[in-house]
Amino acid sequence: MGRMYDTVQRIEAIIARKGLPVFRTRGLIAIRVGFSLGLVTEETPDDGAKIAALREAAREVLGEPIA
Amino acid sequence: MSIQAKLLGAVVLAAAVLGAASFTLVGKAGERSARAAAERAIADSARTLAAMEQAEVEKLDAALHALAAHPGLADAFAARDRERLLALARPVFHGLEARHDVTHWYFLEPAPARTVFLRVHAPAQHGDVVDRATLRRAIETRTRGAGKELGKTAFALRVVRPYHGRDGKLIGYMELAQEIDHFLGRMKAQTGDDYGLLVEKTFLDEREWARARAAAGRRNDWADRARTVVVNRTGDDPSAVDFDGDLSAVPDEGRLLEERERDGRILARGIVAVKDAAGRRVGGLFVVHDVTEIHESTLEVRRSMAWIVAGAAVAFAILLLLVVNRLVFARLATLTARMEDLSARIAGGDYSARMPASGARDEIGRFEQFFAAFLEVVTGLIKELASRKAG
Repeated sequence: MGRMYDTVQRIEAIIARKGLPVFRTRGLIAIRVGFSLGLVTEETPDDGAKIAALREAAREVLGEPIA
Repeated sequence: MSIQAKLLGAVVLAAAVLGAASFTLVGKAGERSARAAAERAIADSARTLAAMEQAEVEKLDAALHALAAHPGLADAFAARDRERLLALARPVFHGLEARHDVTHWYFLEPAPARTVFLRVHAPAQHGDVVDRATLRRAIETRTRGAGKELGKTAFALRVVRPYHGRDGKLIGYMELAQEIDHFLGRMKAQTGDDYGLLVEKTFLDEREWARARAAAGRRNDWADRARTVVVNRTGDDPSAVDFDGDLSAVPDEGRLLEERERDGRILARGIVAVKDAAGRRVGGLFVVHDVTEIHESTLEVRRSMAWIVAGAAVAFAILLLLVVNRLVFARLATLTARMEDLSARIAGGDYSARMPASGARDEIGRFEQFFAAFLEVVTGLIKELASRKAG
């Protein structure tokens, strides 16, 4: 499993745990990083810069860092 | 800078321009009022002088009628008995002088001689020919001749009538006159304005002027002005009669010369042409009218106008901002929040997201309808692509 996909999964878990509106929260993060989270699959190649941006956007939107 | 701030700036600027325009207009209107009041005062002074002159003429004429009915005077004049005439006339003259400001009383020979038979006010002088417009008119019309005439040093108001003996035959002319120096004081008492009477030097005698001034214990001011001398004036401001222009060019209705400030008062100064009984423009009557109150009321109106405009501008700005905020900015904020929410939801995969219709039929409402339709097309397209990919 790629690190990119793994990060998205962690984000989805936090959204579910916090009971946040799924589409809206995912959308806010997507708008910040510039790509759709739904398009990230297990086969999506890892990109260090994208992963860092995704973690930063998720931290801002979710209010907690991604483990 | 936000659109709201720009709008507020535009409103404030417009209010400032409007206020400045109003302020200027009120100021101009005030200046026109003050000018009109001053011109009215000048024209009124000419009418007051004429009315006063007419009243005095009627008074002198009534006195002449009464004197003509005196049998002793008529007999003495008819007999050309100067001593008897003077003895009879002198006490009467003193009474007229004391009670009615009469300063001259003449018994005149009829035409063609027109010589002075007796000056009751100056009995030693007689025998000289009188060539005055009032006497000429009395001779021509066989009735009253009246008007103000310039002597060697001053104006005198003269009334002259044919004088008939007890047998009804013309025995000569009788004339009463008064100097009009006191007119200005009476006009000032009536109107509160100050006056000055100026006469062209060409109509006066320089030596007589010097003699009259010396007799009155006053400085000889003949050389003070190039063309004119001040016969009389009220008030304590000698510059009120400053004028050395051409008096013959002054219109009958008068002319406003200037407005100036003195001792905290704003004074309008004007001049009216003064004509003698022959219709010659021999002098000018100066009028100094206080227009301070008009200027102060104008200033007060300007201050009030400034406050009213400022208040109206503030109220208008607040009202405009409230209306614009309610109709435009508040809806733009709602629209922006909705679009942000929709964008996030669609980006998050919620392709069923739709723009709620506000129902407004204005410009923003039309944009909302257009954007809702566009969003529906785009989300439908994405949804279709996603399902194809999944399938």
